[in-house]
Amino acid sequence: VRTDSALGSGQSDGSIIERSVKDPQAFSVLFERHFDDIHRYLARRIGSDRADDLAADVFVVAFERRATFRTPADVRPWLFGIATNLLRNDSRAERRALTALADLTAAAGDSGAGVVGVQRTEVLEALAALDTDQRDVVLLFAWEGLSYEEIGSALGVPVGTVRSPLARARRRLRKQLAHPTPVAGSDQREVNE
Amino acid sequence: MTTELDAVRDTRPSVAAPSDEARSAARRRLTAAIADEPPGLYEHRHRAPFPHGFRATLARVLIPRSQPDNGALRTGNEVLDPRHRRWVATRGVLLPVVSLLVVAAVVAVVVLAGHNSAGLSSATGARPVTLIYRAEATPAQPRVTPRALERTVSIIRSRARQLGVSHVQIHTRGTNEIVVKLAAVHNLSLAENALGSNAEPEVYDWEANVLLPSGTSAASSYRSRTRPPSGSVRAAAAQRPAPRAPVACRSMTRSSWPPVNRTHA
Repeated sequence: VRTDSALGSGQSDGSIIERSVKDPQAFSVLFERHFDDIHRYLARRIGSDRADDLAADVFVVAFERRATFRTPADVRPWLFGIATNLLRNDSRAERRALTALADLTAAAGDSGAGVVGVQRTEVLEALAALDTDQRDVVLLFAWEGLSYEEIGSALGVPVGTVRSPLARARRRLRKQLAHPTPVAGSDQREVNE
Repeated sequence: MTTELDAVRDTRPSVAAPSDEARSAARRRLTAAIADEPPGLYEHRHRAPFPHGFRATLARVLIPRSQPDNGALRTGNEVLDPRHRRWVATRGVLLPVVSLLVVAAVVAVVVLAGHNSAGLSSATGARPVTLIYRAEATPAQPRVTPRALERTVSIIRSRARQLGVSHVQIHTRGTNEIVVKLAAVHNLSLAENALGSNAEPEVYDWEANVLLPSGTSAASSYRSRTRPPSGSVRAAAAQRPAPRAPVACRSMTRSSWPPVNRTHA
C-alpha cells in the first residue's frame, strides 16, 4: 500500500476516490487518513476487540463501493455510515457493551452525576434501550459530533429525516432518565445467546 | 441549557488509538481486496443491465493474434497482449516509420472525425475485437428468454449505429450469449462501455439482484409509489438503501459476478 506522502497528499477525499476507480491503489490514502477515526468510533460503540475487525471491514466495503460515493469533498460521513451499517449486524453485542460499560462505570465509582445531574449509568442504560436507528443518530451526533447534514449523508437519508429519529430518541431518553429502569431483558438475552 | 444529549455526550468513552497490530491487519485486508480486484471488473460489476431484468456481463474479449499490437488496446492497467513488451523494446528502430504513421494518422483523424466516436473506428492501427456478453438470470428475471436476448441484440445494434460504427456484427450464440464483432477498435474500454452500458445511466439494478436474508429482493423493500418496474430503480432511490444492506447481501452480490476473462483467440 502506498502511503499518503507518496500519493494523494493534499488532494481532497473526493478526488482520491474518483481517482481510485481507475487506480485502485489510490484508495489506500483514505485508509491512512481515516482508519483511526473509524476505529475509535467503532471501539466506543462495540469495544476495541470487535472494532479491529469491523474497521477493516469498513474500508474493504468502502473500496468495493467507491463508485457509489457522491459527496464532493469529505469522505468521513460516508465511512461513518458504512461503519454504522456494519454495526447493525452486531446490535445485540452493542447493547451488551453499553450495559457492560454502565456496570463498569458503576463499579469504578464513576457513576456520579454528569453535567446534567443524571447518573452516567442511567444514561448508558437508556442508550442501550433505544432502537438501533435512534441510537445511531444520537451517537453520531453526540459522540462523534457530526452535523445533521453529515448524519444524513452517512445514513443515506435527507436531513429532515435525521431530525425525527433524533427527536424521538430525545423524548425516549428524557422519559427513561426521568423514570430509570434496567435494560429490558438483558438477562434473558444472555440466556438466549 | 443542558439537555439529554449533553448527558449522552458526557458518557462518551475515551478509547485508545488502534494498535499497530490492528492497523497492520486492516491494511493487509485492504491491500488484498485491492489486489483481488481484476482490472476492468469494477466497472462491469456496477454496470446497469440491459432493460429486461437479466444481467448481461461481458464474459470474454477475443483479439486475433495476427494483428500487430500498437499498444493502444488497454483496459484498466492491463495491456492485453504480452507482445506489447517486445514492441516497447523495438520501438527505437521503428521511430522513423512511426513518424510517418503519425502524419498519416492526423490526416485520418481529420477525415474520420465526423464518423468516429467512443473509441470505435475503422482507422488504420485499430484491430478487430469480439466482445461476448453472457446473460445471467436474476431474481427479477429468473429465465433468460430468447426474446429478451434478441431485444438486447437490437439495443446493442442501435447503440452501435448511434455511435457511427458501420462494421459490426451482432448475433446470439447458444441460449445465453451475445457475440459482438467489431471490425476495428482503438480503445477497448471505451468500446465496452459504449456498447455494454445501460442506455439510461440514471438506472441501477443493484437492489433487484440482491437478496435480503428473508429471501426477497432488496428492490421489493421500496415503498415509493412511483417505483419503476422491477429491475430498474432510480439511482437516487437505489443508493439510499444500498449502504444499509446486511453483510450477507454483499457477499452474495460479489459471488454472483463471474470474473472477466480476457482471452486471445
